[in-house]
Amino acid sequence: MAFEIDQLSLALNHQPLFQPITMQLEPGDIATVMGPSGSGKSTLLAAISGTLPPLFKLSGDIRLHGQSLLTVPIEQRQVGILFQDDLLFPHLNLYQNLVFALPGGLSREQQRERIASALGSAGLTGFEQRDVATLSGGQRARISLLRTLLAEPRLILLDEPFSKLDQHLRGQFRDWVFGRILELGIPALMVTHDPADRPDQGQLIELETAHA
Amino acid sequence: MSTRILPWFPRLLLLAFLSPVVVGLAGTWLPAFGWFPALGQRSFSLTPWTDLLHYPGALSALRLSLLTGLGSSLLALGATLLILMAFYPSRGFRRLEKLLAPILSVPHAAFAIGIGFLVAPSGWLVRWLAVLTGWPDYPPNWMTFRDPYGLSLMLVLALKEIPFLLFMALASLPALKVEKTLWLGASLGYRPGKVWLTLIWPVLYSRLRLPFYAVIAFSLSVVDIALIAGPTAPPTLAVMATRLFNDPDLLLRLPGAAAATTLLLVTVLTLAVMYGLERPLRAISLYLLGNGKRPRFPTGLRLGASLLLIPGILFYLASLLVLILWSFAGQWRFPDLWPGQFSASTWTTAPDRLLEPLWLTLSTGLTAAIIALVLVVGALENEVRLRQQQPAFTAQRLIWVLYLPLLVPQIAFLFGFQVSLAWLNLGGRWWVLVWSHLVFVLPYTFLTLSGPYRAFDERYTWVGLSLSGHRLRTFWHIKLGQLWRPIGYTLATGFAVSVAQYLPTLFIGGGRFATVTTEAVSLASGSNRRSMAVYALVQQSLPLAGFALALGLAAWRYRHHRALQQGQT
Repeated sequence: MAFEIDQLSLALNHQPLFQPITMQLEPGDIATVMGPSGSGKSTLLAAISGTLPPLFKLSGDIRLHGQSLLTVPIEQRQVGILFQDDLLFPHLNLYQNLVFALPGGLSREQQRERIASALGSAGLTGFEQRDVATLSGGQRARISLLRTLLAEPRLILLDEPFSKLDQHLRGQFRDWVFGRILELGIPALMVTHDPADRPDQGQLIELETAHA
Repeated sequence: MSTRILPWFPRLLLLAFLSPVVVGLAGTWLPAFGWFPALGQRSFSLTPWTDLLHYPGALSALRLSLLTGLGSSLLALGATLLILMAFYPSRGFRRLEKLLAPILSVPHAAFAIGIGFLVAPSGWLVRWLAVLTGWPDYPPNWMTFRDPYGLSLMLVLALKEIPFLLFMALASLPALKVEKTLWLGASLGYRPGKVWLTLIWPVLYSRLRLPFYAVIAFSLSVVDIALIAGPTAPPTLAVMATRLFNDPDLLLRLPGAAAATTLLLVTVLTLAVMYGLERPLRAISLYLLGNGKRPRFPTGLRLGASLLLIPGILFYLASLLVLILWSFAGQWRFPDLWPGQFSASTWTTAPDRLLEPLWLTLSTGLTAAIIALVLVVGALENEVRLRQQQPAFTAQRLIWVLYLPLLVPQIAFLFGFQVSLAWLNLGGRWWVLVWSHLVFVLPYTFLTLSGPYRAFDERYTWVGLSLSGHRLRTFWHIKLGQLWRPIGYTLATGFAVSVAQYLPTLFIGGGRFATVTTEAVSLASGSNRRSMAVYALVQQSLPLAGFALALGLAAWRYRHHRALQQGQT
């Protein structure tokens, strides 16, 4: 099993946020988490990515390739995050943004090749030296995903990744993202408000407030 | 960054700037009550106080300090309010905002010297008068500078403090939604004047309180400006205390300590009265708010504020211009507006005596600014860590601790610090000089950097961590990499604060350390206007160069990154 959540529940001041969750994902599976605002969707992602404030009490377990993530610091989890904001580093050009994500131990030539082929896959060949501020919203979104993928994560978290895009870009970008994730065989967990975002065969987890 | 060392930064920071204050205060109080073993005084008594009372001019000096200190602070606050009421928010104001940083960086001593060249009886203003009206033929026998009432001192202080208060106000105003409040008020039939006084000012004042208190404490006890622009017989109490501390008669250090402690008491009392006055003033404001009257304020609000603002800006520009003129002046007869002949000789001979003080100013200022930056960044990063653990965490309630060195008169603790250092055999060391400057550089560094640093979107750090798997790399490349502009600005501010220090250099060095500032102040009591002008200009150009360099570097670093260029946020 690539990724497992086992009887996970989060509590704030002894109030559980939602009913305990259990789920399993195979490589390339994209699960969707839905629920009303305030139901703890973002907190769940924070718990998986490693940014959960200690204020929250966590019980249950989160396992990636059989290893529990709970005690692993954020920088060693190899969990990629895609927020609704692209969060491209504004002080770096496109190439520098991407090269920061590449794993260490590559030669200059290998770095250049990987980035060129990643840009090619996004239809952005030759954009290396561009200032990220000059890109369109759709281009920035694609670069942001490329950057996440280049770090070779073992799990991808998507925090409402499509909500800030125009309607006509949305479907196109969504298909592209899902295609890339499937191709690379990485399990992914997506939080969204929009039922249309959910991939056809993906699992659906609806967060229910624990005291409902 | 290893998170385990982070908690040490705020501790070290507090220790660095509070210990000299605490040790120094105690070291001043003991001699003020007769305990000064170094001079064989080992019995507690009130003699220093009675000695001070009988010291010629002591009471007038105290009165003078109160009058000039309070007068200039209230003048500056009133002018700030008037300028804001008349012009905020407007396009012109945004232009003014850009001018504030260079204006703020003008060191006190240089500014006072420049104003002196303007308003003195043989100064530029009288020359203009003489050229335009043909009168007077000779420099008149007026006391327009260093007058016994301290009016010129008050003018210099007020002019110096208005930009600071405006700057602090501008930092708070965006949060107050002035435009919307004025709009709302107008929709209810109120004119801007009343809306400002009843709805905006009370909130703004509560945010300006600490800076305003710092202005009062500074004005009550400033030494360098008072030496240059204040009266001599008697001088202000702070100047008198400095003289007593440096008198050849060593025993006069005891009444000196009493004088310095008196200034502390006066400052504390004044601030307490100011605090006590807030309630009744607030009640008046509330009454005005509720009385339903919609007065037609005199339409001359803008006119009045312009009459204040334009001469104020002209004073800054003209004082700079006249400094430049004097530094290049050969012969310059009264009432000529320009020197009869120009000469660079003052500049060409200056380096002989100037280079050493210049080097000390630069090395001390840069070291202090960099140490302060490292400590402050560490403390702020520790704050980020605490906020991650406890999202409700805020350090804002500790802000008054930062203001402490700015609220305690320098003279009230520097002597005690000097005595303690001598006792520990640490007098006259360069690193102690840096430390004494840090007392003032650290708070300003924190105040300057904390806003932009706290505003940084931590999600960039998370993304960086998850991408690179490396804490230090993420901190350095992703976080600091985006913060060049505020960091550069903060370094320049710290450097400017250090350059402007007069009293710490004087006391810690015991006369051994000469910076551009101490040289300029000691020249100012002489009559060589050309040298005075050169030193003032050098002193003034240092912080300006610092700001230019910092902003230039950031602009260069982000030249290919539109999102981080000036004007974008």
